[in-house]
Amino acid sequence: MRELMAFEWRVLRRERTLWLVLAIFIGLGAYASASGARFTGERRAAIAELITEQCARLDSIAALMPQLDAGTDSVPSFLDPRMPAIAGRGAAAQYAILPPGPLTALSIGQADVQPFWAQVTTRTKQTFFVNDEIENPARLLAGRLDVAFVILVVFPLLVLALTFDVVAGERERGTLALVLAQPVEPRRVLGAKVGLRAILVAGMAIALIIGAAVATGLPLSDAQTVLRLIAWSGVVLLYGAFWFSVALLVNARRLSAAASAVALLGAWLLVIVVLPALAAAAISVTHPAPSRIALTTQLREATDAAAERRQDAVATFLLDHPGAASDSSARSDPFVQAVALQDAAERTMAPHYVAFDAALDAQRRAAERFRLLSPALVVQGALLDLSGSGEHRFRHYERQFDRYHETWRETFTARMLRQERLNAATLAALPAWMFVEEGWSTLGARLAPGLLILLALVLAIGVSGWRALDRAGRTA
Amino acid sequence: MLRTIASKEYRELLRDGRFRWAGGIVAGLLLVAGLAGFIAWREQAAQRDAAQATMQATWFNQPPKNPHSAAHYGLWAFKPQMPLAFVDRGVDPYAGTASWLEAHRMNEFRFRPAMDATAAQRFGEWTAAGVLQQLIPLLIILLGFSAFAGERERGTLRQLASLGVPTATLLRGKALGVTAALAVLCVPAAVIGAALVTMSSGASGLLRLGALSTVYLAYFGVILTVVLVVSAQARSARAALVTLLALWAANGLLVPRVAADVAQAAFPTPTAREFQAQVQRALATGIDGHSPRGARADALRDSVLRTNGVSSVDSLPFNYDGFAMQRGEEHANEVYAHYFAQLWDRFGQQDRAQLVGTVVAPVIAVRFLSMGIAGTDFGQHRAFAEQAEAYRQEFNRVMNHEIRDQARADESFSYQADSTLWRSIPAFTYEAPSLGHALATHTVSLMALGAWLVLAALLVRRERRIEVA
Amino acid sequence: MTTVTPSPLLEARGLTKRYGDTLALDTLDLSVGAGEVYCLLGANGAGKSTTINCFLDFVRPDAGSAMIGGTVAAQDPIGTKRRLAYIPETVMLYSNLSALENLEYFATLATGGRPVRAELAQHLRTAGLTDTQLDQRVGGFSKGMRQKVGIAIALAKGADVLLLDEPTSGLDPKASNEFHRLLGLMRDRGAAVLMATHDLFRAKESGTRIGIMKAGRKVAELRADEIGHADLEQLYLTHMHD
Repeated sequence: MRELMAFEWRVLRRERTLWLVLAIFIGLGAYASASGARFTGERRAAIAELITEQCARLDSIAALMPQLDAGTDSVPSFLDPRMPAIAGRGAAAQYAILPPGPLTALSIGQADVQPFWAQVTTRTKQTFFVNDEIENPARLLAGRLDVAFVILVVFPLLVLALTFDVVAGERERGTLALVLAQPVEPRRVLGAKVGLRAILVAGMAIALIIGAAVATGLPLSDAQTVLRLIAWSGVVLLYGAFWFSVALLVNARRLSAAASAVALLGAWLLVIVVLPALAAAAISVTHPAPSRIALTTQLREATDAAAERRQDAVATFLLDHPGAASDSSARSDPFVQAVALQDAAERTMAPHYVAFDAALDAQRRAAERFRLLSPALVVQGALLDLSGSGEHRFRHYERQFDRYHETWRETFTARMLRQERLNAATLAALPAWMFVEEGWSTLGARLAPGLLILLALVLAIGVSGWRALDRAGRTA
Repeated sequence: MLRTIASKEYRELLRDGRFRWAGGIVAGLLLVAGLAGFIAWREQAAQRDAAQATMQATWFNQPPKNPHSAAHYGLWAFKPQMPLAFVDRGVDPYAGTASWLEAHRMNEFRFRPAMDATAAQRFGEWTAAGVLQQLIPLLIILLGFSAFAGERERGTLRQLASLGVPTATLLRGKALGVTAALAVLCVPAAVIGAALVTMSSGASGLLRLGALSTVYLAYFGVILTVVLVVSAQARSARAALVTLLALWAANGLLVPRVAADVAQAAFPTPTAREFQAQVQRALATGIDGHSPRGARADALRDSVLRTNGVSSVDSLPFNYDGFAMQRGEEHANEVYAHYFAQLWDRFGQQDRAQLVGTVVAPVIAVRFLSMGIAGTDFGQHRAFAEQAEAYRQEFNRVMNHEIRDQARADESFSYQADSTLWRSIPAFTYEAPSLGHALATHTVSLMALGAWLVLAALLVRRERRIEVA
Repeated sequence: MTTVTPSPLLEARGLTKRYGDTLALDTLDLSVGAGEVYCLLGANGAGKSTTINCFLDFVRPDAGSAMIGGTVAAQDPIGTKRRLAYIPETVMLYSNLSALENLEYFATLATGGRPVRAELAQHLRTAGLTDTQLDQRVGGFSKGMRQKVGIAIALAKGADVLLLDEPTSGLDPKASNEFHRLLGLMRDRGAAVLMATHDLFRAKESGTRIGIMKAGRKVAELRADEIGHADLEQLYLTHMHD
């Protein structure tokens, strides 16, 4: 087998197709890496700005507080950062930041349309995810040429270009007759041809991934990053194996080179265009995204309703949060009233939020099911998830955000009721935001079904192609 | 003779398995895209209209309160769906759908639909426009790549030539035949589209649908010409197919993305934080950076006192707080108008820069034109944003003037107005730009498409000799 | 000329092949012994190529069997192919490889081992290629030169059965004569040669026995030395008329 491949290499390397494919790979890979690097660079710079601003703000408050205590400085009461209500509502607010995923430079995915930061205050949740990065909508529409796109869409075309005429080309050139007159199983000779191309393509893919990883400055000393890269490469190789198995099957049928090309192109269209289109249509018809506009309307109505029964709201609030320094002063404290109203509105909204989140989660789960329709979707999901730029990581972030928001609010509500002022020490002790990546078990559980089904598909198609290859040995 | 050639080509294509399969699949996708799009569109349109009505009602039904509080309460504006948005969603998924109109601040649009969609949908979703822009050209390639090259290989081209058929007739005849085969697919699609549009939006939608059809017909004409010319010039059917597929892949997959990147690099936009910082700075220190808020306030007060010849604001014949707030509001409005216009103009520059890519990829021009006609391009998002902003400025003005004119000096923030004031401002309605206006915004795209048509015509003229062997 | 040995290396018994309604081969019986050159004459579509394809297991007969050295080709395609060498009408090779590289490839396939380059070069020289031609890319080779590479493959294989399909069509007289010399070489080494051809002259010159096929059947068989050139032509045309 090895000699056969060595000979095939000799033939192949003197033809133009291989070098053309390699050139396209390198060119697109370089461009895609630059694109990804630029994106993560800009994202990191934006995050750095946020952190700088936060530190500066908190430092200046920490410096101001002792001066206010000492009386050497004064601010209007509605700007006094020592008041928990003021601090919690904005002055001491921290940013809950979603850093770019471990491999986002390779696969930008949804990261360009999802918010990546929110300022956590004591206000209601709906005011938060409003910080979209400024981006021309037409550019978001065009999409990004990142490494994942090259792999998903262009890579199969390159495989197609290399494999469509393995058998048919030999037949049309006339060398097939001479080859098959030799005492070798046609399967081995033809298999060696396809096999060599598979090895070359796998090599190119791995080189692309490593090259892109280096070019985009991924931290290759970090174990997590390396693990994800390895998993990423595995998925890419599985995808390549899928396309090679399809090529094997097409080559085994006795078609002309042109007909093989059309058949493979048809397969490409089916997997990349038709099936995903059906899947997307199915998702949007069966599980449309819940309406944030409806939620906004409901929130407004809930707030209005709470305001109408202000005193009831305050009373309920004080019952739920015992520990007020003094009930009467609390009742008349405008800050307490504001928080109480907000609380009442949120209680009305709670079932709506739950329904909203449930609908969103149902949509995500349906999407995972419909992905199974097409290998391209399965691979896209895996690549995005491993890169950390899919919708699951964002939901993970939202859930952590919710918990942090709750903690923040409780801290400040307690202080506000106890009429405790903040000082520099307590400021430093406020709960800090820490984003925790999804664990491998969660990732694995989510990705395993699709990838295993794809593996089974590859094996099935590959085996039937391998068996059928023998029949290609008949030239008449 | 033209008709003979055309009808033979047409019959051959219709019987060809290629056409049946590929045409069937493309037709199926077009149907799925159109219908799924329509269902979603209708759902969205109803939701937004209902939500807007609810919001307007909350405004009208406000209890008696201080007008400034009402201004802070504000109103939400929800962008409505345009009639043809189900054919071409344009930038709608990527532009916000809701804006909170309140006092002192011009807010950005929130809730991009794309944020709530899954990655699978972003990868896989095909709108009808997408099918028309990317897949019909592929179908045309499939139908036409062997028109000349295949006949040459089979030897029938030589026979035709020996009969004395002029080249131009051959070209036109084949073009006609392929067009007729395509029409089998496109005409029913157009009819269904027209039915859906009439059902949902009436005659205005039909006019736009007509304009859209014309644009796409021109585009298909260009593609068909290129395909036939390549087929005539290629050495073999296989070479023709490879060339055309490479062109198609570059056209559809690569060039639009690269063009967008290049446009962004040539005309960069500020980050959200930079933008906010710029705005905040200008609000504090004036647009020219030289007149801080405090100083401006003092200067204003002094000049008003002087003009009215009094020594304290309490003696003014109107409420000074109301007056000052409105002045402050107007200053803020100027700042916002300036910076947002700058930003939106920058987007427009980027879009025009993208059009440079049309030189190799006509699909870019068609994309912009299609969005423009459907009413889903950025220009029309901007129009909505501007109208919403104008409404915001209006109701702020009315609220501030109410205080200025009706409140006594000591009751600036305790004066109460009631629903007569709220209802004195008519409901917010959006007037979409007309079709003519939309087309005027996209003259460059129109010219680009026109240039491609001219090029196609020239190519056809130039084909005087086709190699027959 | 050596005498015909009793056990034929190449044998067809009742070989029948149908393509749809057409009977390409109709119970054909054929045998070629070691050191024999059997020339199969017939018009286009008479079944000559189909016969050869049966021995190569390129097609499976509907009835009867094609045997190489007593083994049925359909039952042991690999084993039978080891013993035979096939030279098609136009020997198509890998244009970007040299003659030697092409031979190396096919010889490796043929023997399963690693052929020695020096030996392969010698085979090419025996087949009639010059030293410069050994390393030339075959893309520019003439039909005769390609055929020589084909013969070199047969030599490298040490095949004792040779299947030739229209070997002299398109060869100029000099090349045709060289072919005759090489054919004699193979025959003298004890190979059984089956040659499908239109070339009546070459059939009489190089052949041991001649068979005439028409519509899938063998309508005449005779020894080459039993008949003269003119009579052979007459016989052939007579059978074609029926």
